[in-house]
Amino acid sequence: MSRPDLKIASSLVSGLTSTMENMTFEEVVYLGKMPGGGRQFDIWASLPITSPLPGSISIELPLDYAKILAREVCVALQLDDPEAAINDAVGEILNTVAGRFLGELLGPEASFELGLPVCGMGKMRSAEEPVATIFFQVAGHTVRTQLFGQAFADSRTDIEGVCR
Amino acid sequence: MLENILIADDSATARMIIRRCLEIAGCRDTNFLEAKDGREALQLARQNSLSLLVTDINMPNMDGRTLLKNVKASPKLTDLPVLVISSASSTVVERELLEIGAFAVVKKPVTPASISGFLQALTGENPWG
Repeated sequence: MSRPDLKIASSLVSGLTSTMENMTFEEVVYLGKMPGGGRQFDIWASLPITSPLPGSISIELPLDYAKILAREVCVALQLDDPEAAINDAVGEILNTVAGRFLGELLGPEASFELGLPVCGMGKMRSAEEPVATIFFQVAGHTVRTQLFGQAFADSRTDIEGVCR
Repeated sequence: MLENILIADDSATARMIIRRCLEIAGCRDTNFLEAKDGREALQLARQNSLSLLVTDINMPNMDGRTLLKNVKASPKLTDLPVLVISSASSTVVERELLEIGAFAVVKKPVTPASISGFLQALTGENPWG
């Protein structure tokens, strides 16, 4: 893995780890790029990154774990729509992951803008290949985070500068 | 004592987390109001006597930056302290928000520890003491 790829990967790991540990109080285990065995992801959320590098970031997780994440939200807010609570919780986690990831990748002085998260059930579909794919284990469940956007791939020279 | 706090965030999860953090950080007897976007928040701010407005930046209809500008431009609301909580903040954005009139800027994920210092500065009370 080149230094820019390492920087993207390590920033994703850092963003997800700090977010999950602070929001769910769960330890995050980094599984690398390609863990063995079939993986079942039922819930996904995608968040546009609008600047300075256009692209998107996504998170996918199994339904069982999404239910655990949303249960507290449903109870606290007395929601009778578990699907809405799941989407809201997963979207907010991704929003926080994205902020932490970009802050780590681009540095504390760099401004960036995010769009609003879109969530869904089933398999996430994307027209393009991800720039980076990272698998994590949280509370015994496998979670996948992907980064999309040619700008991230094209800007590896800039990111290389950040790595130094 | 902060009597009425308005939390503006399009995510119900984020609103719940912020509210819990504020409660843990000392706002146990506070009345909380919630808004899903900046437009709703501005309306609630005009209708209620608030002690603090806590807002996200990235929201539909009216974002937190526009909400902050509207609050600071309103003679009735200009003294209302605004705490901005966002995932998309950097030191540059933080400076800009402080110049517009934000009381403080906190990065997500918000924790009781990250919020307590600002509450202490606002109320003069030690939330842990």
